[in-house]
Amino acid sequence: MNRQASLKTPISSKNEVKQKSALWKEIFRNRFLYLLLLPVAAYLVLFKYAPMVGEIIAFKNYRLSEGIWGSPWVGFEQFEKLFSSKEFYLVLKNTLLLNLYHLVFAFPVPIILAVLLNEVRVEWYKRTLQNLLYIPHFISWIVLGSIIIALLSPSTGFVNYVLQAFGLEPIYFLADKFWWPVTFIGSGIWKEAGFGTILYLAAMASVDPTLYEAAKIDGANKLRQIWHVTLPGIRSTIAILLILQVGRMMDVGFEQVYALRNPAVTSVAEVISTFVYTRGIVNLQYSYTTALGLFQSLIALILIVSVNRIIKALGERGLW
Amino acid sequence: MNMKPTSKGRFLFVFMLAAAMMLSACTGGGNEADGSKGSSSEKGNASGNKKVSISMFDRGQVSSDEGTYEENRWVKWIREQSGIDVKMVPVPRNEAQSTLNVMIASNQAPDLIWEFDRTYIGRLVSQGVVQPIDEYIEQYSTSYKKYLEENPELKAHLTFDDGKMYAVATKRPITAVANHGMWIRQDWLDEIGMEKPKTLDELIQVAQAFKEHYPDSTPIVGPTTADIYAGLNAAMSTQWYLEDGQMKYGATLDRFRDAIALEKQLFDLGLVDKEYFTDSNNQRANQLWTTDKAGIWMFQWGSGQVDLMMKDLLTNVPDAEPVPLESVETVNGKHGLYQEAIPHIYVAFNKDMKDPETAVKYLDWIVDQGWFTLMNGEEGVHYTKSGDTVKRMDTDKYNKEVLYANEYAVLKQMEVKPEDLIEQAADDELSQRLATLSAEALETALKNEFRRDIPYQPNFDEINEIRSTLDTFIRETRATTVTQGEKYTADWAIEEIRKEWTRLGGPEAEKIAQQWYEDNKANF
Repeated sequence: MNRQASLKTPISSKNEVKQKSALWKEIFRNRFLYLLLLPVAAYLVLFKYAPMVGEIIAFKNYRLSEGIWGSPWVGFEQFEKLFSSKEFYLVLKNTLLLNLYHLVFAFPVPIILAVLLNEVRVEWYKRTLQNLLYIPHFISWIVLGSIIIALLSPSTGFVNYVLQAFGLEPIYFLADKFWWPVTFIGSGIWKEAGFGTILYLAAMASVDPTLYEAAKIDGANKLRQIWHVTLPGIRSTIAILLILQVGRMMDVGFEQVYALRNPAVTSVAEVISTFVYTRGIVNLQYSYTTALGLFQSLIALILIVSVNRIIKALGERGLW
Repeated sequence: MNMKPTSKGRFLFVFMLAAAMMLSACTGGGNEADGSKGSSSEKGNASGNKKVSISMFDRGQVSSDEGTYEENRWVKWIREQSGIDVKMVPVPRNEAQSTLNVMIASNQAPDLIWEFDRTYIGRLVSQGVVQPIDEYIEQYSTSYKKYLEENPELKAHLTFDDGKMYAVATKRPITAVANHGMWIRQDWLDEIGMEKPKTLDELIQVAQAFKEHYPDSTPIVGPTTADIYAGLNAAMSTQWYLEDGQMKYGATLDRFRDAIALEKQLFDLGLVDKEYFTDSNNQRANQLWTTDKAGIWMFQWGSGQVDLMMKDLLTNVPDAEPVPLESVETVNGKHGLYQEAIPHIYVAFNKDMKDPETAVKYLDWIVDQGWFTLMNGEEGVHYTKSGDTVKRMDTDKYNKEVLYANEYAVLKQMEVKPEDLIEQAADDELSQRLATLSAEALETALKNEFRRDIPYQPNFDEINEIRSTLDTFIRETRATTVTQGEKYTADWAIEEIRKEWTRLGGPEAEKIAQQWYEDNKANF
């Protein structure tokens, strides 16, 4: 388009040409950097953007034999089916609730942990502690699932043994609709909180030490120093992680739910990812579940954009 | 202080490097062997490189020194003997269907796809990913064609809704027809002075007596309890039944309510493990049975896992006397526990298959001669032959070296009588004892007929779609009814299930099923 225009009216678009050649110059000057960028760009196009074309099956009735292109178009039929089904609202509610609990209870934990670790002055102790905190992150949910089931068993589990020692009734944590989400969030914290401290600790390391000295001279005690120096120092990191977290509001990791769920708690444990698995992959309703996936991505996009706006309005740097 | 970790690290690095080199040397060696094997099989058939790939269930039974499911002595043997360069494509047993679905969707599925589940093959037929095979069998097959002529009753099972044949299968031996089974501890019965229960009420009384006499025990455990409650009441939730000539879905029947009521009653009486809902891998159930903590075991009649568990039990508790328990009479009459329909493994043909002729030839070879060795191993090494009976030489050796090869024998002409189990078993005392029990259990399991009103289930999209929601709902409703106390009764549960059934379009599905029945009943 541009080139055509410039051919027709060379004089009026002189400016444009100049700008363009400046851009090419710029690219040429940094050609090696752009070359380095190429594989990553290719990766993104190939594995992130190209598969998006497949989303069109949400508007089709996909059959394996006819493929993505051959299957017949059905317009919004899959979405109508989705929005008129009872299960959709159930999995949506569960997904949002579990994420809300996560945001309220699990999100602040790594911040608190990082602040505490930051105050530890004995270096070897701090290192050991940090490493111990990272380890759970590397255990797979499938393994951890069996450990949790055994640990929380009402008859043989250690937790209930302790409860009984205090004269309390044993609780069947994983089959109770109140305790299941608690267990879910709790186990999530146990596994991921330690690893989540990494970013915050890195941010704290970059806080200027002279600020602490100044605070000390002004007579600030430890708590005051944390409040007025450490926390403001990691504010932008918190903001960015918060945006990312809200972007994941529509998404609950499949493995954790899959490892911990059971028929007794389906009404609180069935989330979008497990629903898509049973309906789409096991029962071959690809179009229906793709429609759900598309809806999920759309909401996530809206959420992440609005939170980014809000954060920016509050004076922090957003994601973009 | 600082040196140590580095030197340790260096050592670790060198060690890992060495390990990696050794590994690659090993695989290299393996490849060479493959190469020579490949060329030998090429020499074997002048017509060139005949290739076929086939799926299989990965049950994690191949020990590392045997190789992998893809490459081992038996795969090598198959290639040499059949002259076909076969490629095994393992899928994890517990995720078989979902894994195959993903492979199919990404065009990576093998030429031959098999399942025990006819419904699954039916789904592939309606998705159009497998092809009709009547012509291939007609044109290329000799052995299987003959087998099918000799066993015409198979034909209806292999034919799908458009009247074409989509799969091959052979008949199950009775060891594979019988499936679920119950076991009871005779020594416990003797201890409390009671007889083997014959009715459901007696069964409950015995369980209660067990509980009183052995307060630490869980009287009834097992992986198949829910299916057994349903089987006893002739109301499997996913099966169609003929009620006065009308097709009705199992989960909506009054009899299914009775099955839920039984589950709840046993739970409320404390006769089952209160935690079975979270025991998804049956670890607790198995542990309770093998450590002398359970009196009645609801599982399968025998073989495979049952043998292993029994062996554990008899090793842990040498005085234990587990015996098979016949199915008991309920208010709905006396019905057998779950049994399979006659076809064994359904092998279907991928529509993108390149060389159907080779595939048919491969299957012909298996059904003709391959299966026998794959089931029994090598003569003189794994079994001895006297007359027609095959006798296993060493159970442990067989389990390690041959058991996994059974997976490759997708078609087999095997006939087993209960007494064969004893004759086939190795001579040591434990093997003989287990085999005697198995033979008895097999007879017990087959004594009562499992209620199956139609030979196979109708397959249509409406019911598949309903099931994808309803199955989850049934499980949840059952769990709620059983665990959530008096408010929730079996009557409540069946009402909920019927409501859900109607909401999902059940009545419409019933009409379709009825039509299907009227159209097909002449073939049954």
